[in-house]
Amino acid sequence: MGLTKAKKDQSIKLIITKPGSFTVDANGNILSSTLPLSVPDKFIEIIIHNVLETFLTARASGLIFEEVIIQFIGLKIVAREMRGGALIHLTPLKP
Amino acid sequence: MSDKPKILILDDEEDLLATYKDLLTNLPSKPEIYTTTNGARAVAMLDAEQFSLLITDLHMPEIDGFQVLAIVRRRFPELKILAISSVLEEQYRARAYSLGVDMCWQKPGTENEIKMFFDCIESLLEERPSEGFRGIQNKSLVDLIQLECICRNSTTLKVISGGIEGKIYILDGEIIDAEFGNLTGDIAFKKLISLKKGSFEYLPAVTERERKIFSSTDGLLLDAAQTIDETTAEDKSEVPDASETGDRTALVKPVIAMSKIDGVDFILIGELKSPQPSDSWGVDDSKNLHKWISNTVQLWRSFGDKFLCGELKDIFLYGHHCKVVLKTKENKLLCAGFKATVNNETIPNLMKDVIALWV
Amino acid sequence: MKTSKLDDLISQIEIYIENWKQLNHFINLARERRSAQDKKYFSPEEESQFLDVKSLLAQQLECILSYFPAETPPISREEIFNVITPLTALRSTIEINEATLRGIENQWHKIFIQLQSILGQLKVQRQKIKSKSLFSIFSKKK
Repeated sequence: MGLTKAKKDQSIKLIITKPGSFTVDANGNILSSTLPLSVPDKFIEIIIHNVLETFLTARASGLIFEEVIIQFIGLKIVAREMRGGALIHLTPLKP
Repeated sequence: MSDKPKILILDDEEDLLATYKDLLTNLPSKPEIYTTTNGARAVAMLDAEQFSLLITDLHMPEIDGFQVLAIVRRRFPELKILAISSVLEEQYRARAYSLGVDMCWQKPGTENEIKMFFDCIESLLEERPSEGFRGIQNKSLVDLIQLECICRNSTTLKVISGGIEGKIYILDGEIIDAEFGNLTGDIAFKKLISLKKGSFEYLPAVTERERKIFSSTDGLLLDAAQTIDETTAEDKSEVPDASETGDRTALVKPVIAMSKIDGVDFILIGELKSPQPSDSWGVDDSKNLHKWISNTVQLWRSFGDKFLCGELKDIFLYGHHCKVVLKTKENKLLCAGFKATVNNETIPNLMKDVIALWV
Repeated sequence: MKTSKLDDLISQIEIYIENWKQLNHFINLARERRSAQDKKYFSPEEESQFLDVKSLLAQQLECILSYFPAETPPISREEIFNVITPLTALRSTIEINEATLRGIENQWHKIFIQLQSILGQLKVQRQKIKSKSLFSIFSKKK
């Protein structure tokens, strides 16, 4: 049990070490950000895509949400819907 | 278990529901009041527990009250129904009565009307149903058998009705044989299942019983439901047996147990990549919802895997009209919907109670 | 201004307004926590989100103002900062007395309406450009 947990913990790599936020428009363009430039673009791109996709597909299924919180062992993503865009907060978590 | 009568109120206006709840709680019989704005959820709630009375609005913009009435009357023949409407035209009144409504009311306006309305409700509550199986009144044999099969139990269910005795043999959640008088197998099972009242007793399982029923439980119960529909009109002869020989706390499905947690609006459980959910409660379109949950979880899981964020724990989704939590464990999915009135901060704690019931 | 640029600006202001609303959400949250019997304080995560919202508002404001001539900004940078600056942290917002908090809230609301008004003007401008271009298409067809 302990070994499994240790193995799981090792597989977590914190891409961001400090909390940060950014806003995106409905097209996924970043409007403002407090994240350092060192954060990989791909990481942000996929978060934006997934957040907008989550709001959009939920709406298509008849569920309208204003806030989504995605909780991983090593990262917490809080996204607030903003006119098709979003305000996204990223918080690294200590596993 | 509480002896208080239970009333379910279906109306699309939440403010009105709150008013009804406040007023009806003070009736002399001190009923327990449950409310919902959703027709499908009303049916699910009626499925989950026994109610004495359903009060439903006939004219709701998003739900057809008559459609709900038709379903409810067919599925819960013993339930008392009081239909209300703001404008009660003769044609609606006639249609409602033809669907088996016990009483039709125009929404009371004056103090006198309100008093009369409450008197009527009280009188409807006083009328006790006479059918059903003793101990679990208003539960059909189908319900009892379904519970045993879902829980994969082994037991022998002895049924006594109108002086005739029968037995249904269940092994590891499968119906293997039945006997009713001289009859055995499928025919005996059908006869037994069409009984509407009587008493029952749980006997130990008979493992050495020769298997005579080979149909699947679902198929048998489906056939049984048809048989019941056909015999509902003609079967008025059985008299409940005087001796109730046993009782047993019914084992309930996880979704039903979860639905009883305060604030829970709907529940869906399933598996990733499966085309449909394993079970759900209070969901209108469970297949569509399951598909969306499955896709959303996979979307975020692949993100977590790609960027080594660790295991996906939960997804909380908050809206003005609904609040949803998605939880995964390996390939298993749990989706709990909470009422819009539930505070976001309390949802993680409520979710712990839901997860505790997740098998 | 070109239609595409105008569309970008409208979208930016729309998002800015939504972000501006977040500020009010935090003010309300502080008030709620202050009046709560168990007086719950804020988590580091909430504090960090609050700080980020203020940072994003300050950053985004510069982006929006860059669309306009520097000498005639549609909204005063100082007025916006007058709202943001006193709200140093959520924990200190709890300590602000009700009268001061109301004053900040009034200022917040004033800016909210100003932003909506700018948005409205831009939408009118876009509508004019669109109908103009439609007109030119039809006149060419003749």
